[in-house]
Amino acid sequence: MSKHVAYTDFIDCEEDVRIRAKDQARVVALREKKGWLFRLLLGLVLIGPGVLVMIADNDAGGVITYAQTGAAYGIGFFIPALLLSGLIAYVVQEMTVRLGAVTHRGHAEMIWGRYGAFWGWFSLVDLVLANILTLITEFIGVTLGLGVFGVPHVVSAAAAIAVDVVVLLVLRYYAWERVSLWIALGNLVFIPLALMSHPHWSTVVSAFSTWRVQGGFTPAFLFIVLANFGTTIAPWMLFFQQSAVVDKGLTVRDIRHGRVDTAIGTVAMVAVAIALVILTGTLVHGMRGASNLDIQQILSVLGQRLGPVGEDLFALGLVEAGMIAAIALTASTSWAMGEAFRWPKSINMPARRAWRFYLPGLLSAVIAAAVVLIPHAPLGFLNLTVQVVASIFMPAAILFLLLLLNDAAIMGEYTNRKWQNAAAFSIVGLLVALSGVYGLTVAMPHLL
Amino acid sequence: MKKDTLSLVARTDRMAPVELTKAQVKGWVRVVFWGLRVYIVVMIVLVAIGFARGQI
Repeated sequence: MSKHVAYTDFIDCEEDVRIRAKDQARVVALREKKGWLFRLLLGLVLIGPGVLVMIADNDAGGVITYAQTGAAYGIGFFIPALLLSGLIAYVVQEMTVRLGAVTHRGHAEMIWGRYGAFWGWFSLVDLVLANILTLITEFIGVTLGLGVFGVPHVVSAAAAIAVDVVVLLVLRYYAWERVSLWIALGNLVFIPLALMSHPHWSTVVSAFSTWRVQGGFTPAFLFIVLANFGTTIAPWMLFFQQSAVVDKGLTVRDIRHGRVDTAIGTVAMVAVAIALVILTGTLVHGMRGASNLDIQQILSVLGQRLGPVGEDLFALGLVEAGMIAAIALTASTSWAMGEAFRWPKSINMPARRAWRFYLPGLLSAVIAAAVVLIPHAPLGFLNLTVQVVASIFMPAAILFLLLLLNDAAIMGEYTNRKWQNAAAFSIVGLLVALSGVYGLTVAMPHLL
Repeated sequence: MKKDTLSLVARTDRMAPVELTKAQVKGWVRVVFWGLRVYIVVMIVLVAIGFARGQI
């Protein structure tokens, strides 16, 4: 290949490809410089999609699930289980980095182009539906969290929509990513909260050696296990990270940094999840009726045990978790729609010229916010439906990922290695088994 | 300036997306797709039963 590619070559490329040149040029310029400072700067510039996807995965629904898990089961079983689910999330998300960097195409685009319209529509409808339902849980988190400070639900939902709209429409990709990373940093608030609970560290350490379940493997326990796995690995994550890698303009030379980015995100995600389990496992577990507390009751207990500062910090964490996930889910929907219908699809594009790209994501956020504000809306039912849709879709989404990662015609030397396939097929097997058991318990609740 | 930016990127990395052609579905991939169809149908039936019985 000629070292100098003619400028006109880029004129012929799609508009959203050309528009990423500025971000790519920043990376190329840093890579050409020598010294540890420039290497550090390069690392900081390339951090983004992996950290964002993992932190956004600790969304409002996730925070609620982990808090309820700790309250119901303490810290015995779930800390090692969360480490395992973090490892699973890393293995899956690393594949999206490679796929995006090699193909420069998003996940929806790849499924549509490689396996046809049927599977393309199947994936798109599932993703958009699951994203809207998940967004509802994010707005529940935001309104509940701000409710602690006396903010009316209408105001908090409108404010969340406003932040989402401004971040997506006003900022271009790099600025959007940086602002989102700053918001994501707020997710770490749960770590000092866990320390404030003064946990028995010997109990935390012994969880790894004993790994036992209080009360045994009951149906309720199985639901919690499924909810935790469902929270840690979700279909939107595959679509989001691959599209973000493409929109950032990462190439095969950036794969190593993409892996580091994903690993940092995984460590942060697992640390926050474990912190939540430790927090409620220490302060709430063992109380009368702890296994049936909702998030408002848990907040109230935290307020009694930690004081108003503890309650406020938890509420702020819930707001942040809902907000960062709303930003990520909105972008994920827009990217997927743009990829499926071949619209110009980049956060680098101004809103006036790419309104079709921005509209579906923002519309999904507005629908979700409106649903949360409907009096007596069946929010619990919707929350469960999110898990049902995700559990049906997740094995299919990973299978497509696996097929694409083993497609030598498009991946070349970057196809999966044997251990990666073994790990990924084990994950698909685990998810199918968990989803199957979940489906059986939903249809035949007295089976277990 | 814009031209400089583009040519700097062009020196090192290709940005163009890979060409996409529909894959030939055969062998074990065909089996995987059928397995996926069966899984989806079974899950939809189970979930429909769950909805009908008010379990969801």
